[in-house]
Amino acid sequence: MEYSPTESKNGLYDIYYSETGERFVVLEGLSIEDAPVEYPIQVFMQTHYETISFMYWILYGAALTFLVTKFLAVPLYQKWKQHKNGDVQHV
Amino acid sequence: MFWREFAENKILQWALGAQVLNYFYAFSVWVWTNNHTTEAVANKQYVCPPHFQSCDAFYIFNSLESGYSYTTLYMVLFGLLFWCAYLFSQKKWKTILLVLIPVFLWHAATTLFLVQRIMGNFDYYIVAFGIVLLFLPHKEFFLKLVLVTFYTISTVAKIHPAWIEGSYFSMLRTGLPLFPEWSIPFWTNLVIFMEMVGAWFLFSKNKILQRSVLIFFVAFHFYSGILVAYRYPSIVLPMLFIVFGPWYRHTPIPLDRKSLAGWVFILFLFVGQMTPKFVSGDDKLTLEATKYGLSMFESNHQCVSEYTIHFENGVVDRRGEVNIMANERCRPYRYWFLLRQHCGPENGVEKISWTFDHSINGDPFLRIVDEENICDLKYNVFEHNPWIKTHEDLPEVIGFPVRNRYH
Repeated sequence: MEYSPTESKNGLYDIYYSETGERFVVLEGLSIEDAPVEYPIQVFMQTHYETISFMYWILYGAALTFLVTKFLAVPLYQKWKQHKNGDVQHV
Repeated sequence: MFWREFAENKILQWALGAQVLNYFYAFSVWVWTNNHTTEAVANKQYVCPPHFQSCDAFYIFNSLESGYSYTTLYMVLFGLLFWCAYLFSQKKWKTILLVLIPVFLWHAATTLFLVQRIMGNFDYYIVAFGIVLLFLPHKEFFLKLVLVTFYTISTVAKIHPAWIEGSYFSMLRTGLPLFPEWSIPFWTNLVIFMEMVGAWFLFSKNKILQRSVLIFFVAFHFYSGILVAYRYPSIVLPMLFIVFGPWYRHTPIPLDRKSLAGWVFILFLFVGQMTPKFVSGDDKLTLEATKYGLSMFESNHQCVSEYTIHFENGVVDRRGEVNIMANERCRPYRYWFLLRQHCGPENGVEKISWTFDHSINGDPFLRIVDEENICDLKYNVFEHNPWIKTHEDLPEVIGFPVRNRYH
């Protein structure tokens, strides 16, 4: 794709326009030759981003709920029950 | 301090040694910075954390620019670390812990309260390891749990296009090291999954599973060093290898009263990581409330800061700066804090107008700050600051970025 330079700002950045009219801000030290490129798998992930991120939040919550339940809540409950039964027997 | 846990525990002894190395490495970097010295205040080049914006009141040391107190302090700390190395040979664990307390306090105070600029997210690991090794009981268990917790909570910052789409790395002109660009989303999502779920299998009693996960994370940290160099791998890899490596053994989950402090600390890590979610707006764009958890590689940043200083005598000074490095977070707070130091009649300044354009992960530059006078602005730590625009405020779109560099 061809890019047309238009303006330059005080050594901070240059402005280019693509053939399709997109305006690019090229900061000092970077090059218009490095315009972004998108690959099919990335486009797929972009298209389904909301679903994927929701699934990750579900996974995060589910993993933590499982771990807390199995390794903390249940053992603590069993310990409390043993302690309580121990008190009853003692009485 | 539960120092007796070290007596017959090779794992804890080596972990303590690794922690001494962490402090040595951190201080060897910090000794050459002037960020929390009287000179930083005089030169208007200091930045306090958002939750302690008057940190300069505690800047009492002079850098080499005008004195020796700062470097003297660091030589005292060096001496304490050196003494620790000797004490290791004597196996005097209680003394080592006592000697490390002032080291821990200075490192934690600097990381959490005194500076914004010189510390990195990886310094949180050092603080957390220090809390476990110096103060908590059931040290071996909680050291393991802190490591795995950090992997898991770091995924909160990764549930974002930067990692799901892989745009952090696809926006680097050098792409992802060693792998083709088209495969970036595959690798980034693999890391998310392994950190969120796989890391817990470091605790597995199944040796093959445990070792496989260990190998993954060791390889991950070596790989990450291609971008981040030594600092982060040297903090995490030794501890990972010591507690989950060849000496790994199953540690029973402590549920006694003594363990409560450890569990509260772990809960604190989880809650801290969620802090940005309680503030409206995309925290990757506004960088609000993001200093209370892990945020490494959270977004690829580019920004333009342009400001005009209007002096009382009528002089107008226009300046600007850009950031093209992905790992330099474009925090509006930092730029505001630095500019604010030039405000006021004592500096002969009437007002400072400021625009701030920020692009993340290849998204367009958005003018998220456009203020006529920043001298009147305040920064709230745990709520959204209305002068920083979010996507909902429909900030002006300036243009698209090109690919940048990591560092």
